[in-house]
Amino acid sequence: MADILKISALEKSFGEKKVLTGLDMSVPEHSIFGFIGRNGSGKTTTMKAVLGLIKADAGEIFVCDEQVKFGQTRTNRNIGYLPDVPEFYPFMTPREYLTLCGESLGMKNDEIAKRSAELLEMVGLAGEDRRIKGFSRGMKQRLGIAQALLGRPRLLICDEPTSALDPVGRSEVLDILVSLKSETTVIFSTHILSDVERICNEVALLEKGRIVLGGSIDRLKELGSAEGFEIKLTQGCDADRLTERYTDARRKDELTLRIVGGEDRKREVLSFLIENRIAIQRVETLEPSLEALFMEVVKK
Amino acid sequence: MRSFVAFLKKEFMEGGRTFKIVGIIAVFVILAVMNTLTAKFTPLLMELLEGELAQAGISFNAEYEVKTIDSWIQFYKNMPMGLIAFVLIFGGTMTKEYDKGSMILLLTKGFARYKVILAKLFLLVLVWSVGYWLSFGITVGLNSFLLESVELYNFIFAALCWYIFGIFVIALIMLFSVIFKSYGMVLLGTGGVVAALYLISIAPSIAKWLPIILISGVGFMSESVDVSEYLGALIICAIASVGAIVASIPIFNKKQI
Repeated sequence: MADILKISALEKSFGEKKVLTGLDMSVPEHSIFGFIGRNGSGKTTTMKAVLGLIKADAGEIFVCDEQVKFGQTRTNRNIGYLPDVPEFYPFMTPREYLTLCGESLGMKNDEIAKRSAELLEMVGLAGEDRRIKGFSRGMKQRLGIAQALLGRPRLLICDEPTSALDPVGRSEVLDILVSLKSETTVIFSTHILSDVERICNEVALLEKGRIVLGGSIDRLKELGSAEGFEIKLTQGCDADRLTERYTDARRKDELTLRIVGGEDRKREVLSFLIENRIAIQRVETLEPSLEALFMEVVKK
Repeated sequence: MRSFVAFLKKEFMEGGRTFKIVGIIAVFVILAVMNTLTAKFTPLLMELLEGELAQAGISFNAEYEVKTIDSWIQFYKNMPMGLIAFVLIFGGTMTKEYDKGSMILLLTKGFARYKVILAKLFLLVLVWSVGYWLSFGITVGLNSFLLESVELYNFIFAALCWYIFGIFVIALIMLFSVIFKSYGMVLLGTGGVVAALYLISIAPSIAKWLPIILISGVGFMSESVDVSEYLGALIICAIASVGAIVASIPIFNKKQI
């Protein structure tokens, strides 16, 4: 798969504060790319640099093999952008706003009308003829997606699209983003890992201004050291017997133990329990989670 | 061109729906009506108060016949208020967009930045032109009904000069709007330049070259004034205005938003 966005050795400081310290990242086409980092880790700065809104101190950015130049936003014709809190002109209706966007993009009138209707339908604002002034955050976020997709961009950049929303609004936005997979490539910055696990297939973790971990989400999960299982027994003395036998087992509480290992290890432990007639309350396989992996990386 | 027109439509829609255009036009109309009426009724008012004024030791010529020139004195006294109202209402045209980030979505669609400047400039110049000349026209009209006409020297020249000074102030608004990020700084910058010009103009030798001389108003309207002496100030004002606007484009292109 070709890379739609390539960033190499990007650096940016604001005054004394170094925000980006040599960021390298590439985003394959048609992926849903999770760009993860803590608040203040430089996610928004990176995105604004990609959009040519701020000037990087060093490094290069390519969008669809064309270099991004600060201030001259030619490369932006391939990009749809959704800021974390999109701001519109409050005195306009959604349709008027999309018309302004379409005309700015140089689209034809009938195309603007058709595409606007289609997108407003998709984001559930088809019937809204009120002015944007009275819109809720969730509605603005959905209108933000519509305006970003108007020109059928090859790359959609969303800056924390779900952070400011309630659970219902979040779920709606995530569903819309997933539905775009065949149409475009989505980069999606967030600090909410469950959102990433739900919709992304590629991720990069930004920490201290660099990418410290990246790749396909499946590969990352394999890397996760958290793989293992948890066993809850009925009696404390049984738990003692188990820890004697398996010295690497970690005692979580009186009755619960955690053992690291795959299916073979689990089978071995279970047969030991059966042979020794030890009663079990439950056995649970621990899913390797991004969270555990990221906590580990960030701690280093 | 198409995107320029689209943005211009947005500017008009904003000016209309937020009542800014209606508001400033109302200011200009009210000022115009006041020009003639103040001139007309001040002597009447004085007459009513004649007794009290006489007691206070103030005497005046009760026979004074109000003429059109008195209304024009009011016009040029009131116009600074009109211009200040204009700057207060429209001075935030760019900074409001920075504050809210509302321009970002359009700029990230590849919308050329210079078109933002030109569209906003177009609206400001148009509103100023309509407001100013409407005020002028109303004053002319009311004067012809209510006041005795006298010969007015350099009548159009004086009005044109004031109008051009307004364009200069608009150019300053645009320039300071791309240099600074806040509305307050735009007002301070624009007001500061005008105040500085006013201070410098105290020196009579250079006063006639400064744009500020263009708001002399009735000062121009006497037989002894030779308008050709002020062509220098007009040219300097024009160059400064065009210069400010031309400079604002590359500055805006390099502005981090």
